Amino acid sequence: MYAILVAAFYGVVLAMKALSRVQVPSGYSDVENLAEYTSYRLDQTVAFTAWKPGDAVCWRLGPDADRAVNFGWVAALPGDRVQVRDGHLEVNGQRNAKGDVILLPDCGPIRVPDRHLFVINHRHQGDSLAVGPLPASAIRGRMGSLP
Amino acid sequence: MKALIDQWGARNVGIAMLVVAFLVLIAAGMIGWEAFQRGMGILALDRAQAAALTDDRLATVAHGREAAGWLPAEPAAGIIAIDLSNPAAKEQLARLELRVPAKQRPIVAAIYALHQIHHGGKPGSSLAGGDQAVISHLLKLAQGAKPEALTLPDSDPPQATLLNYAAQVRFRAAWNVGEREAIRATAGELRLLMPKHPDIKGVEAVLLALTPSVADAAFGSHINVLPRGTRRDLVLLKLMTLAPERSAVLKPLLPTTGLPTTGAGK
Repeated sequence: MYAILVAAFYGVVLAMKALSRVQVPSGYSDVENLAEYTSYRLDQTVAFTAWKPGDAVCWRLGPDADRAVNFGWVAALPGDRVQVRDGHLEVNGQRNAKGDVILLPDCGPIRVPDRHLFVINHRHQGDSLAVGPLPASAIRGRMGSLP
Repeated sequence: MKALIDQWGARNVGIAMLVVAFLVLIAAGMIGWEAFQRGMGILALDRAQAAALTDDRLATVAHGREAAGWLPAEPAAGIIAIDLSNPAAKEQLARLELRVPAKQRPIVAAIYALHQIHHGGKPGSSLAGGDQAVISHLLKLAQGAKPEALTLPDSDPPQATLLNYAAQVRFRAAWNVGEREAIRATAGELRLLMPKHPDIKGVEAVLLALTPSVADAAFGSHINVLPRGTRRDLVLLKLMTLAPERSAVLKPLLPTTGLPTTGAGK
């Protein structure tokens, strides 16, 4: 009896994980080619300390539908030094390969605050260059990969 | 079960089971109510943090207060509801420090120290690495020191509230001192940390003006985005002093002095 209950519980958990998908808003253009996909698998069980630079990430900037889904990559973790040099983002002195050229003069460095991530996407719409480092509560989950 | 009934009687076992069921129901109710409170608090905190991302201070405080009402022992909810400019926030922070779990007290203590500095006080030095470094730096600035680089330890990064506050104070201090390189550096920090700050367009204009590699045309088109008024005029006047090489762009935009022309004599 208990074995059946435990198996059912794990079954529900696994089904929830498998069904946990995030809908890509129509006309979404912040990440190249992403709008071709209708939805993305989203792992919402990632502990904050488990994030790594380069992870594909989904975040929300507010409750409205057009602000609830944003996609990009983690560029820097709490404590990392972030700066803009020659139109590119540098993290701890290393150039970040993701994203278009940044239309800002050289600025920084700043330190990413505690419990925050510095995220970036292709067109820098709604990413940390547009809204600042994101608090942990704004992070929705991790995706396997992004185009 | 049959053995229990044989030993204690069906009636007694029934009553005992009823009591146990009642206790379980109460426990389930309490867990449910706690989960509901937590859910409502997290929703309000989400709204507060979304408002904070757009730098809507009023909405942030309103949603933060709602979140603090649902989650009285959650430092993030309590802190976001704090208005640093309000002297009464001192009591709010003291109450919050008593309510939160011991390991989260340093977070509240750092905001308490920030509140003290904001109101001209001098906090002690008992915070964690990054937070203490920011507080010490702010204390030096409050005593009139020049805004030199903010040195932080490699581990233990400071809280966002402290870093954002420090970026604003550093930029203001550099602006008042009038040192070109310090203004450029602190404007860059402010731009990266708080790109939604209401005055960020003006800060960007300063950053562009003080960056030699930026062409006059790019700087000029950015200046035209700034709303006309006294604040813009003050920025332009200061930039004339700081970046005389931009005078070709700035001069035509500066406010003219003297009486308005009547057209007489034309």
